[in-house]
Amino acid sequence: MKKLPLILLVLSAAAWSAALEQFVSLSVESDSLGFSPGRRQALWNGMISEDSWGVRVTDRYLDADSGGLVPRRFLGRNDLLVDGDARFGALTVSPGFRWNTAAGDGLDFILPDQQGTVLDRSYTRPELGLGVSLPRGFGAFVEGSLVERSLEYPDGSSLGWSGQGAEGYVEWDAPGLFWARAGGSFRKHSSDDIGFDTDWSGVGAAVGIRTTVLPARVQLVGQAEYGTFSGEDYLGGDLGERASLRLRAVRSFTPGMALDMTVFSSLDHRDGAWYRAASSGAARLVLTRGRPGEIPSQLVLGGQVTSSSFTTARFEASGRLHLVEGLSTLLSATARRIPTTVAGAGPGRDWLTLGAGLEYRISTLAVVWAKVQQERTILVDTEDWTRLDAGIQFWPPSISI
Amino acid sequence: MTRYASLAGLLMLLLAAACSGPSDTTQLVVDPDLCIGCGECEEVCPYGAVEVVDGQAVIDPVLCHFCLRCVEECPKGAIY
Repeated sequence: MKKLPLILLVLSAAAWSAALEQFVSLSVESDSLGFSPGRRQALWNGMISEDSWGVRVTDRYLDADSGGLVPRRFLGRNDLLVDGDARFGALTVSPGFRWNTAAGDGLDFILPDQQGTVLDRSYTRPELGLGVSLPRGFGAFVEGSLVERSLEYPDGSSLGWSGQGAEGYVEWDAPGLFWARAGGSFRKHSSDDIGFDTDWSGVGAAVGIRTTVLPARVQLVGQAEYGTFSGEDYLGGDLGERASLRLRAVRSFTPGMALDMTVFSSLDHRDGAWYRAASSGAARLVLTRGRPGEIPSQLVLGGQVTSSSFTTARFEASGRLHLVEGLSTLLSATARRIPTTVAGAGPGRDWLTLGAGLEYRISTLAVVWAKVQQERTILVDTEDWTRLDAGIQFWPPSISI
Repeated sequence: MTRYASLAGLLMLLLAAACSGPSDTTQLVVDPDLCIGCGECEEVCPYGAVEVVDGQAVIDPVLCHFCLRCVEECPKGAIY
């Protein structure tokens, strides 16, 4: 009992220097201006931290209707994530917990091996990570997680589904430009009620170059990765091996103009031969204008093309023109070609969106925006509709505890 | 800049030339530069194959049935 005041003193001293940081966001993305509410989201993010520990809490409530011209495939969920880390010298302990639950009946969950469809009511995922910093730039990290999913048949009877995961790696932050990492991962999924039990594992290594400034104001970053996997995909084929390379270069022409280019390519090795897997190329030109300390006006022009078993293309232009005292006008145009699973629409979907709106920024405290978007998507028929994208983001001042 | 872009393009061509046959991969890629961890892919996956971990979508290669719903719904085009 005599120790109680001492413990309280230590706890209060430990908490004295802690600070609470928060972020709040409310947004709505309607299907149309007049009818369907579309998608609404509320997000709260809080973090309490001190020098040697930190706790983060994120709660995201999402509500969406099931209608709309293009069918939505989600209804409503609440997602709570709590995680933290505590440092004890070279050792860092990182526990975490996620609880995701349906706000309504739950989404359809398709069982493997054509065993029907159930409702996905909720899932929990506790996890624990341990990291250690070693001399000479080495570090190691291991993490384990469990997943318990609550599924339900339409008649109300429940179905158990669980998963276990583990991963670990050793990394080397080499002197100079390079880093290297080697590790492995394991996942297992099982449901005794339907006799389902599967797992996969992989080991691999990656080497990379940190952001490096080259002549002519060019910055380069990249990595090459190789992994070999045991397990089978949904068709019963071996996962095999995969090698990939990603390079990104940014060229600054003037203080307000930069070109950002990324290339990615991956190869799969199966049955003794290498096959082209997925590749992509992207470029983005960013033009920024504004005095230091002012809200800048910005124009972004970009595009990306990808190729694998299917192709996608995306081109976009967006701009923010600062008008007066925190008020800016927003303009955007996006054109996309993507595969679709909407029934009867064929293999692809062309999508064009034009938007215009206003944004008001209150110092570093909040930003409010509203944008009207005209959207055209080519499915079974060509569908046109106008919708609203609006919201507020709020960063309350830090609170010392 | 042109020199670096040409070098990267040449490297990609060499990689593509080194392999045979058209791509028939059943494994999706999440672009770490584009993914914002919004979770829309996780919401629409009917197989429980997508999880957002540390702000990035992670696709389980065994549970994924290549239905491409996540590709269609991703607002950033980060899955391909």
